[in-house]
Amino acid sequence: MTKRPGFVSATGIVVAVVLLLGILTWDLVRGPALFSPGPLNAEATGPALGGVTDHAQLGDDCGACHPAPSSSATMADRCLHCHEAIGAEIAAKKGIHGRLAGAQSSPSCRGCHPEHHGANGALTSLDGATFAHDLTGFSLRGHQETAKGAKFACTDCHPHGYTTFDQSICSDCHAAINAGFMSRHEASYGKDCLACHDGSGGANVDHSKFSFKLTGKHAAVACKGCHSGAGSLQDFQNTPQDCYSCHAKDDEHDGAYGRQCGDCHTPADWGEATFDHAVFPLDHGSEERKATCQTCHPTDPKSYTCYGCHEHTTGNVLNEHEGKSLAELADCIKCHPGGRKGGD
Amino acid sequence: MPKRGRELWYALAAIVAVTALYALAYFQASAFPAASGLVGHGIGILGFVLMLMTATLYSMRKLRTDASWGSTASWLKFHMVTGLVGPYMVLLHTAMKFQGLAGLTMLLTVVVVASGLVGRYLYTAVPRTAGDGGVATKRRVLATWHTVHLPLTWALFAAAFVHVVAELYYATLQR
Repeated sequence: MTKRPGFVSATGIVVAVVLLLGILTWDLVRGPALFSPGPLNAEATGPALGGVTDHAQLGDDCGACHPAPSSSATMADRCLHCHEAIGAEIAAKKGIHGRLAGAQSSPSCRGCHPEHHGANGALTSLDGATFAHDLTGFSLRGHQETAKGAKFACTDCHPHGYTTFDQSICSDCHAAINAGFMSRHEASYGKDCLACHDGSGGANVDHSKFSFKLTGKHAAVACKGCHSGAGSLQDFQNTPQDCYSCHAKDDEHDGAYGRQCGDCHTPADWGEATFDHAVFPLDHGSEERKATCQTCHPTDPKSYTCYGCHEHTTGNVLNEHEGKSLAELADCIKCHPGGRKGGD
Repeated sequence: MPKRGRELWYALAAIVAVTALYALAYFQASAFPAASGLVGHGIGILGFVLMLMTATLYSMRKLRTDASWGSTASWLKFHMVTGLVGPYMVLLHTAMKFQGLAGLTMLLTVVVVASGLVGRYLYTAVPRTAGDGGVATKRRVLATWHTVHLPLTWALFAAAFVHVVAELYYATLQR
């Protein structure tokens, strides 16, 4: 007779079968709540959706959220069956859910919205460290540390939960930093901070409407680069528009060419300067050794010398101009306005 | 280390190691890792495999008459080690939530482990010196204990089987 393993026991098998039947009976009589890992949330926060004001009212209807694995429906489909407004957001690719769904290959509600954590369990669980806040339409780039130097916590701006945001928090915090600025700023622009500010450090302002157009490298400058300390509309409007007010420190000519930088320079790049050098041809010199400003104007733009270039040594010039002294030969263009030997 | 009871020290060492690794996950999450998460699922599956090994391997070894697979005493020690470490890992898998069938399964696990500890006590406490019928007494006591320990184990695995199927249906296989 083949010996059977010791764990094979007739009594054990009977007990197991009885237990299985008991579980099956319980499931048929009381529903599948036996398999629930925890009570559902019972906090009613709004109007009824899908006939209930909270998930706990679903009772034993596990299928309301859990479709059969063989079904083509997903759990997200079941969520959106009741949460139609969220579904509309996703379909329109707008709002936080529209942006979040667009950023995921297979959107899943339960990644952020757990359940079965009790009647008062949180319905939104976000890891502040990894949540892409930009998807909400507001970047946290400018909100890494508070005014006191502490790291920002989610509750600093969302004390009553992630789904709500009261813009008075902006005012309260920024007024603590600079009350005068905030007072002037709100007097000019109102209290709807998010109408202009997206957290990226600037404001969504259409600068093309103003007299000063942000072209070239001006477009990349942060607002405070030109409007330092500006708080009210008048402050912004009073911002100087002349080049020298901002670019005096950039003047490599030390004021020798005046203060109208725009006469030669454009916002594209300092190096792309245009200058009407009508008094002398700028193509003077050879292709191999093109003259630069410093070649002829080594000290300042108002004085020049031809003695910095190859054959224009004092010896050669004196040889070419017999009977003349160096002092008489200082102003070359008087006789050579075209930069040519013959005086053309 | 004394030769007797060494398997308990091995089990303790394994439990300490498992606890240390679990603690890393706990402190990273600032909470018990969810039973349905990667850590929770992983530790649950490993614990369940150890429990399956506990239930089967020693009995299967006893079917053999040769010692090519090691002594039965060694396999009994192995049974005790896995019988302690496996259930401990399953306890950690629960994330300290004992609702519904999952809670019942954990309760049965605790009862079976307790029953096993009783069996170990009986195995070592009942004398088996020849002469006063010690061996027969021991066999009777252990057989009686067996009639309780085995059905409890079958109940445990039946509940665990339903628990695994239910969690696959309601959670893991959900899209």
